This record gives sequence, C-alpha cells and structure tokens, in this order.
Amino acid sequence: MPFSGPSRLCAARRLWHYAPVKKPLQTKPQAALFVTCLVDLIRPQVGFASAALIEAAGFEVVVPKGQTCCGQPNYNSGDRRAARSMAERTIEELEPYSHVVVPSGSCAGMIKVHYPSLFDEADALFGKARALADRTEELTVFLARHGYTPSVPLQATRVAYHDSCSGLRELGIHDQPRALLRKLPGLKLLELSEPEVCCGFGGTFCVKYPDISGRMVENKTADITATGADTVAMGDVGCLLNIEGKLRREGRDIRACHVAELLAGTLEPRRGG
Amino acid sequence: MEVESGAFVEKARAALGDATLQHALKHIKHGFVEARANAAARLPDFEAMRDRARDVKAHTIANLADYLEQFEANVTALGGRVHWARDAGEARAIVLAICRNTGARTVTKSKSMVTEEIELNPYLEEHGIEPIETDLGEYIIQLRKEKPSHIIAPVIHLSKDQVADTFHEHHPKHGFHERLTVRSDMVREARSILRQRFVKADVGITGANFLVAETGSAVVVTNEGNADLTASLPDTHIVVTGIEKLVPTLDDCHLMLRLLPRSATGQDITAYISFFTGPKRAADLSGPSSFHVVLLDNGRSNMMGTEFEEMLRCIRCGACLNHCPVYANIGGHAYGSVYPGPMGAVLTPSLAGIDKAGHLPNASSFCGRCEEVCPVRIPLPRMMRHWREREFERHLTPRGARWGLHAWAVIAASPTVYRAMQWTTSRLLRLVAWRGWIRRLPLAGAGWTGQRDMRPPSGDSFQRQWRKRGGRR
Amino acid sequence: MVADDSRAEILGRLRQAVPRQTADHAPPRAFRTWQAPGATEIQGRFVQRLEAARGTVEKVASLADVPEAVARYLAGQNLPARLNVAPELKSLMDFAAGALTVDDSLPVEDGRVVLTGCIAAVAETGTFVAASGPNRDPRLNYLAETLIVVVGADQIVEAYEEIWNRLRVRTGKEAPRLVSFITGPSRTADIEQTIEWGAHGPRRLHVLISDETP
Repeated sequence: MPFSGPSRLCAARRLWHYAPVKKPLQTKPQAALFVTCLVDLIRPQVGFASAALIEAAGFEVVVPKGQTCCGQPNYNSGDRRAARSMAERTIEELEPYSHVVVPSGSCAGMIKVHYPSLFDEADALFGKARALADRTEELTVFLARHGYTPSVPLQATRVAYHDSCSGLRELGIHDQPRALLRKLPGLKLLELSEPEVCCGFGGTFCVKYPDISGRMVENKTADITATGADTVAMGDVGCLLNIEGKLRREGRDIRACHVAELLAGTLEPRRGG
Repeated sequence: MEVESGAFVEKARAALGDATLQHALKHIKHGFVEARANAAARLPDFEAMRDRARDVKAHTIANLADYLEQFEANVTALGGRVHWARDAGEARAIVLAICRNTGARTVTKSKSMVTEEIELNPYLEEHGIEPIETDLGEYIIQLRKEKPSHIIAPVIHLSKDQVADTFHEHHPKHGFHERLTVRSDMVREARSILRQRFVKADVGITGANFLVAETGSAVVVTNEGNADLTASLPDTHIVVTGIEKLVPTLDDCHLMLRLLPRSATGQDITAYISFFTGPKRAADLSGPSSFHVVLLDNGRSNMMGTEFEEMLRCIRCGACLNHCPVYANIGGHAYGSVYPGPMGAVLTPSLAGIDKAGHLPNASSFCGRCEEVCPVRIPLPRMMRHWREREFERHLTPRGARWGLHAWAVIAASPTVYRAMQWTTSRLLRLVAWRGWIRRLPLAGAGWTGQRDMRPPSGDSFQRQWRKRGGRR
Repeated sequence: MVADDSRAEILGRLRQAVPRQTADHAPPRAFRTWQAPGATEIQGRFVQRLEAARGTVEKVASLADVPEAVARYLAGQNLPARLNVAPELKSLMDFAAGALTVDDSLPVEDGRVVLTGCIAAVAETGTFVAASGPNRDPRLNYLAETLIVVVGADQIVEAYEEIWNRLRVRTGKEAPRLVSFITGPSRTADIEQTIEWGAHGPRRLHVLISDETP
C-alpha cells in the first residue's frame, strides 16, 4: 500500500479511517468527486447528477470517503489557521486521485486558487497544494474538456444561466456551462441583463448582512424573472439555495437548479408553486 | 480620521429602505458601469495598460522615499515649498500657517479626498478662515453639512429635488430666491455664485491625482475646471495630497491618465487635466506667486512592507465602488468613512485602525468584481480577507461567529464527526420543513429565513446515500 | 524643528519598511490608443474626438481669416461681437476686419467670449493644450463662457507625451508653471449623473484649425 503522506501520522490516520484503494475493475480512468458539504447535506441529487455526468464522460467515479469541508467558511472569515488544517486534510484525502471534480465554482476556486496561498513555498504542502490545484476541475470545465455531449430528455425549455462569482472570476468559467446547455436540443438559453453581478450569497455574508444580501438576491430574481425563463441553472449550490429561496418567498413560478441536474436529466418534475 | 462604522448594519438597513437614495443609486449603472465598459472596449491596449500601471505604481511605492525626495528637490528648485505631515493634525496646522501668513480670509477648494480625510474644513472655520468648496458636488454637501458618499461623485446619494431644496435654502443670501427645478438652471446659479467666490479668494487649495517626480508637478483632473480656477486666480496655491500619489515620470503619468477617467466615469479623458509646477515665473502674465505641496502620511507609511502595501497603488478612480454590489445598494454613507466601498474597506482600517472599522472589510460577499475592474489591479478581496484575519487574531470577530468557526473546524477535522453532523442537520432541517419548505430558522439561520425560504435536504446526505447504493469510495 | 522631524520620520519609515530596490524603472512603453481606420490621419482624429467631446470645429486657411470666422461663429450663436483676445494672438490679426470689439478686461462676468491660442493639440482625445508663459494668460481658458481656440494644423500631435517634447521639458527645460490639457467644454454630472455643460468654465468650445500656425 503506497504511503505518500508527509508523516507517519497521516499514514496512520488513513489506515484507521479508510479501506485500501481497490484496484479498478475496468480500464476506465478514475475521477474523484469532491462533492462539497452543501451538496452533501442539502442537495444530494446534485452529487448523483455530477457522478452520472462524470461517468458518462468516460470516468469511473470515486467518492473519497474522508472528505468533509474545503475550509472556505473559515478561510473567508479570517480563521486562517483552521482553514489551513482543513486544506491539509483535503489535500491528503485527494492525494491518490489524478482527477478531482467539484460541482461548485467556489469550492473548486478554494482548492485551485486559494489552497496554495495557505502554505509557505518552502512547505512540502505548498507543492502538494499546487499539484492538487492542477488536478482539480470544476464540473462543467471537466465535462467541456472531455467533450461530453448530453443525451437526456429535455426538462426545461427556457433556461437562464446564473454565473457564480468564484466560478466566473476565479476560474474563468463562462462559456463551458453555456456550451454544454446549448447541446440540449430544444433548450433556449437566456442571458441575464447583469450576469456578472453577485446574487448576494457570499457564504457567511448572507447571514452576517441579511438585509444587504436580501436586496442583492431580490435584484437577481427580478433580473431572472425579466428574462422570461422557466428555469434558472447555475453551478453553485450556495447561489442555488439563495436564488431558489428568494424565488419561492416571492411566489415566482421559476425553478432553480444546478446545471448538472439539467445536463444529467435528473431534475425533479416541476412542483406547483 | 473620523470613522463611524459601528452602526454600519443599522445605517445599511436604513439606506435600503430610503426610496430617494435607492432611486439616486440607480444612476451608477448607466453613469459609471456601462460607461467604463464602453471606454475600456474603445481602447485597444486597455488590459496591457493596466498591467503596466500596476507595475509602475508598484515600482514607485517600493522606491517611494527616493521619488519623494526627487519631487521635493524639483519643487524647491522652482521656488515652491514641500511640507511633510505625519498625521492629519500636522497637515491642518501647515495649511493654517500658510493661510495665516498670507492674511487669508477665504479659501477656495477643489475636490480633495485627502482634505476630507484630514477634516480640513471644520478646522479652518474654527480658525476664522472660510473654506469654499467649488466642485459642484462638494459645494452641495458643504451647504448640507454632509460628507461625500462617493470618492468621485460626492452627491451621488442625492436627488435633483434635494439639491433644489438645498439651493433654495442657501442661495437667497446671494440674491437668488426662486426654487429652480431644471438641472441646467441650478448649475448656472451655482456657477454664478461660485464665480464671485473664486475671484475674491485669497488662497486656493487643491488635491493632486498624481505627483510627477521628474518635474515636481502636481496633476489635477476635473471636469468642471474648478481646480484650474482654484489654482490660477488666488496668489497662493496649496496642494494637499498623500505621499502615495507619486509617479516617476511624465510618461508614467500619462499612462495613469489614460486609465483614470476611463475607469472612473468612462470618459476617454476628463475636460481638464492640469500639471501645476512651481509658482508663477518672473515673466509669467498670471498665476500664484507661492506654491506649496503638503505631503500627508497619516498611516500610509505603516502600510509599507505589510500585506496592505499594494493598496498604496490606488489612484482613487472609484471603479471598485461603482462595481460593488454592496455599495450600489447602500451608498457610501453607511460605511461611516470618507473612503467607502471596497477601497475604503481596505484603506480605512489601515489609516484608522481595524478596531474602529470592523464592519468594513466584512461587508463584502467577495464577489471579486472590484479587483476585476481596478485599473492598477489591487487584490481588494484578498486584502479584506487579511483584515478579517487580523480581526480574528485579535479576537475582534463577534463571539458567536468565532465559536461557530471553531465548531465547524472541529467537525470538519473528523469525517466521522462530520458525517454525524450532516446526518443530524439533515434530519433537523427536514423536521422543521412544512409543505416542502423551511420558512423560519432560529439563530444564524434567522438571517437566512428573514429574506428567503429554504428547501430542506431531499434526503440523507449524498455520501450516506452513495455508500448505501454501493458507490465506489 | 517639527517639519524636519516629520520629513525624516516619514522617509525613514518608508526606507525601513522596504529594502532598497536596485531594479531600474522599466523603460517607457508605447500603447495603442486607437485603431480606427486611417489612424495616421491625425487631424481627422483630432476633429472626430473633439466633436465627440462636444466641441465644434471649423477650418480656416490663414490667421487673417480668423476674425471673420469668429464673427460668423458668434453671430451664428446669437452672441454679441465682443471678445477678449489672448495676448499671444493680439498682434497676429486685425480684429477690426470682422467688426469685432476687443475687451481685454478679465472675463469674470457671465457670457464673456475669449479667443485664445494653444501650445499644441492632441489627436488622441481631441484635446488642446494651454500653458502659462510670458505671453500667455491661461486663466482666460477657464473664465470664458464661450471659448474659441486657434489651433495651427501643424500643432496637432498624435499622443499626450509629445507635448513635453514640444515644450523641450524632456531635454532639460523646466516645465511651465501650468500645462493644461483641455477637452471640450466644462461639464458636471454631479446631479443625478446627468451631464450639464458650462459648470465653471466654457459652456461652448469652438476650435478654428488654421493652416497657418500662430
């Protein structure tokens, strides 16, 4: 059993918690799904949709079982020390996988952009963080890069796409989800008038400054409504909970979903308002 | 520097409920955001210029002492004087002393955020000298006894009607009794009043957008031409500015000048850009016979060598304010600092102390648009995060939040505890849901449900279901 | 002395915080500031940008034609044929020809007209450049309500930087007290972000491009 961890402690921890990595049964390459804590808890169906898509793109999906949180809440709240140890855990956990796929722009951004900044360049973990950053991809980027073409029943016809800020600005995700959605025959993709404006989720921001966050999402749902969309798709469950909750509070008959659900054709049937 | 950010939450709430303010803030999108995008698109090398501007400013800041000395030597050689002020008090005293030496009674001023920072106007008034703001926006807030709510558009928070009321209240003493409602008439009336003040002023005070080391020039950018009248009519011209405004050469300055108006108002160039270099020469037909530059530190040199050093690149264009979704919804006054928005969230704690400016670096969703539009590419979100780190280290973060973060770190450290926590939370959320939605949550969750509903988890956690279905782990 | 203490302390703090840099300042770099077809057509660019900034333009063949052009412009704007002529232009033309009255008092009142020259103009943004000097009074540029500027065709340069070559500042000459880049009429957008013209300076800016340079 290979021990690539920097210390015996890590190796011991892995032995204690984890079964040895099984030999793949087939020749398909493996991709680890880092599911993110929000998907894990609130939207498990996004995890399954992501897994289905990764598989359809020709990979075997592995869900590393020691995964927890990437550390972003602590990192963005100034708790750098905790963020660093959470990053360390995640780096070790994802060490064995050559592909790591994340169905979230902000968690992928945390790993790809911010993890390396948590460690001194002399620290061995810096190199590992850089390596993980290189191996990690946001879901739509991963699918677009592997030329995935969805062949699923169309579940929504007029779809507005909402860009998450981290995905858009930290990772440059803009064309990939749109190109994937356009591959669904019959789907009309609609653009918001201000696609680059934040929906007001912002992690802990939405509970620290609820009034401001509430106004931001109100502006966003108004923009979505103005497009005439029946569904708004996005790549981050944080934005999704925020926008969906506001649409619901406002009594609007517009469905919000993760882009993976549309692409995998696993969206739940429309429910009445 | 006076900072009142303690009441940020309450002020922000009031701002969100202020219909007049909300209407006024709507002008940002067309007036600034779209204008900047168009201006940037018209300039072929805009992005490359931003890179270069970042490098020029970084180089200047790294060698700031040398460039300041070069600047001083050039001003002095031409007969001007450079004064050094460690803090606001020294700067105010220097300005007052110059005014007193000339026997000044009235001082015209063109818009200067540094004089707002050092609260120069009340100080001059206390000492019997009347300061007259001549930028239309600054003039209006001076009449209203308010502070600017934006670093380049001081009265962006006001409606035309509010300005009409202000003029109607204050202009009768100048012989104007009618309440004007047409914008051009209002501008004409203010012009006429201020023209008389310009002519009679004893001293003119301007800020500086840039200082050019190689020539000793102070560069001022306006659209109204008020800085030029301020600096050309009285016999004394005082430039009050921060030490970070240096650029090495004229070429560097023009690079910055191509970026500043485009980033600020979306103009290719403002109507007036003036290079003021020393006092009137012997043969000149006009111009002030004495020229002073007051260089203000006030906390800036303490930023050197820290994670906030890059903030010294800031050229005060206001693009980060204009593109900030928080600023755009609450305006500048809620921040309680003369420097609001993202640049203020980084600069204010640097100048006044994080203990006085706690909310400012926190009131951001980290959407990153400020950094995206910053002409000198200042990583504003990263620096706000650094302030949050300083707060956390010094136990200034609210106790509830600290505990929550500690608890989450402990949970996330162990997959077993994490899984148990996800299971419990999932159950609880599903329990409190009614007809498929959660409408009210306690504690931190109340912030969420005060504004929106929440869909409960559709079932057990993904990892649990994955395991049950025999998925590969 | 307090002032010296402050100077030493500020410079000391700056030098202490950052180890002295040896890297040279990177040499200046030229950027493309426009790529319109016919970008070499400097005068055309100047006119286009000036008009975009709400200036108006007329071409004249020689300085002798200026008074008549001024009179025509003022008549067209319903303005009285009375103006202040900047010192550098006064001896160059005959104002009686256009039936103009010259009033050389400082134009502080509303409605005054000024005719002035410039040291150069910049095509990049339709800008003219005023400067202080023994024969110049730049105050006139800011006080006029109607400003008419004579620009010699060969005074128009492509980009801002060339101005400093013309002033020979780059070759060691000291900069004039004031060098002012002026583009279009004075304006303000302070009230509801809506542009109003003539905030403090000119409400109208008219440029006469003359083939003969003043």
